[in-house]
Amino acid sequence: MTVVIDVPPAEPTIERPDGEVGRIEAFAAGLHRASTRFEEVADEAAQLANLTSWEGAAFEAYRSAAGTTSAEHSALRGTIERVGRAVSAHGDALTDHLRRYDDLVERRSRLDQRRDALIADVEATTDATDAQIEELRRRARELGADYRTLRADHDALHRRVDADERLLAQAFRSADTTGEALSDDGGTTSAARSAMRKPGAPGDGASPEAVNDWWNGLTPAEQAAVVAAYPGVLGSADGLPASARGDANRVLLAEDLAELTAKEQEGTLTELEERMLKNARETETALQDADGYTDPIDGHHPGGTLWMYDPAAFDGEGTVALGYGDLDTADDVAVFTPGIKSTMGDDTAYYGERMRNLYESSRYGGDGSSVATMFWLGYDSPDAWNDPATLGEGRAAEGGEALADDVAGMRAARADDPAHMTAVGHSYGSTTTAHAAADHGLDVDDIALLGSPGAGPAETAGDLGVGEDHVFVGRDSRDGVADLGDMDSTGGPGLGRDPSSAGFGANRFEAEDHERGWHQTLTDNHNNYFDVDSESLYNLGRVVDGDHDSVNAAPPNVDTGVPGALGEHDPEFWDDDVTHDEPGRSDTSPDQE
Amino acid sequence: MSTQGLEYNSLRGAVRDWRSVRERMTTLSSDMAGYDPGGLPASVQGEAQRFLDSWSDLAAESADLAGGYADAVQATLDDFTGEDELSASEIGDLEGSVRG
Repeated sequence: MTVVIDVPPAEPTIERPDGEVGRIEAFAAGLHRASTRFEEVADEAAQLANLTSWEGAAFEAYRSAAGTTSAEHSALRGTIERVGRAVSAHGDALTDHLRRYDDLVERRSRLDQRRDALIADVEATTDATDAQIEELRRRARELGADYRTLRADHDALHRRVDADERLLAQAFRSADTTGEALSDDGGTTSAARSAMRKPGAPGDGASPEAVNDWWNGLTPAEQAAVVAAYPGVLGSADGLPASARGDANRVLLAEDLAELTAKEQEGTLTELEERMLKNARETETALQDADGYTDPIDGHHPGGTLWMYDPAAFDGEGTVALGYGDLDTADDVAVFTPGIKSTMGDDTAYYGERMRNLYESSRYGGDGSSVATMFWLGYDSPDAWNDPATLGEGRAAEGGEALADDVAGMRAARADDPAHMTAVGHSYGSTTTAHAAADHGLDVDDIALLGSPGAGPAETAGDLGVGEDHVFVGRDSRDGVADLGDMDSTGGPGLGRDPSSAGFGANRFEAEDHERGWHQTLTDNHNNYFDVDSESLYNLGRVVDGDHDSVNAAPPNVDTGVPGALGEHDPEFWDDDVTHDEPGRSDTSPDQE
Repeated sequence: MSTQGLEYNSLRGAVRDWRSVRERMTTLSSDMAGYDPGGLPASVQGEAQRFLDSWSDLAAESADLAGGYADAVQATLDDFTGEDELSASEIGDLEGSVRG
């Protein structure tokens, strides 16, 4: 008897999205450089139109004409810049498409291996039993279903690719006549313009919830169009998915790098632009690190997200937020606020690396949940130890409001799929975090304060609004900054109550440095809370993972009631059981071979 | 009553600046004509090339415009200089003396 097993055909042929990312980025950079040329003409024409040393009818005619030239070149600059953004956005989108293409190729390869194995088994089978026949047919059915899913995913990818290519073509077409080039919206696609006219579009006072509804109501093509055309609006729009903000900010970053580098080469950078370029380059480095990171637990690439990007903010100190992992879907999300001396141009890559460590600690030994960790520098942190702002809570209060607003924006983007969120603050950033929580209702589930000089307005953990069981404190006993917080009875020179003190009522966790000495420091022991295989990072990982039972508790700082340096007694100072890379205590990542 | 007048060095500087703009825009025009859209998807390369051609022309027109300003300001300077020298000559002929 002949038995027929319907082995599905091997399909589809996986087609590679067309284009080369590197050459597209170079093309976009060329357009951005060209935009600086038109800007220069606009500026110089405006300046040359106002010669104060020439009077008369001829001068009036000259001045009128030069003014027109300036205005027109300003419009030209705007148009070519918008087309450059569209090209940059296309390069970013193609990067994503090629990643999906690689996944499809790999899936197709695995399916083909299963198919070959099935064919081999069918051909090797003689005198099959009914059970064997049914098993072969079951494998064939499942294989067919998986091939169909692959085809559907492949078709979906190429629909998106086609839409993106049409969008880019439209951007070029919308700026290839003199009239279009001179218009206020030259280079802007009709899809983008119509999308921005819909109710709830950002930039016109819409609430984060309305912005989220607006975004979800757009087609994928419209979403791509507005990211390309209005990155300055979308990059900072609360309520948008993090991925959309990130895409928009990548467009702005590429534009800044191209335009400011061109000015640098010509020697025409202003002081502010010099700082902006430094910020942009630092951000690029951090983003590349994040994009290239491989999760050691399962080998996937969580990717980086540039959630906030403004290199000109605070007179060029800049604001930036950079995440590891998928902020839109992660089960656990941590937002970290740094302390004094943190600047976009010097510290974005440094803190990005620490977010990677936190991501890894949260995943390693975690409950299998997905994780995203984000470095947030959305406030003007004091510049130095001797900056008068360091001694007061003004910047922390302002930053706390901004932090609470941004977290609310992140929440609005995931109203139907809320993450377990943890706010982590270090040093002055812990005071900022405390202000966000105590004064502005910071909408997180857990709070962790590290190396804190004081919890600002919060007298107790309960004042932070998440429940004292959800407030955690990491304090290295040799951390001189953490020693500044006020004790219950004797006060102190810090920025509010010491959150590690018994009276505050938080959950202090082990955070000792295994290489500690006998003296307190303001540097090494203050900046080690994210060190790989440290007690602190291990416990932070458990907090972020939501596994509170696995947090290793440390005894609180004790108020002696004695004024001055003897006003407190830290039991951890005398702890002789400090660990490093110890499972269940301080092992935060798979050991390297 | 209208006012007329100019300061030579300032206008000479303007001529120099406009000529500099002309050179830079001429270079840009040439550069844009050479931009390579070959890394873009094949489906958009045609539009990209038309865009580049159009903008290369725009940059060239911008260069011509800057050159026109430079020439116009230079002509103004030349006119004033010529008139000034002529007037100086005529006034000098008067010798300022009644002794003729």
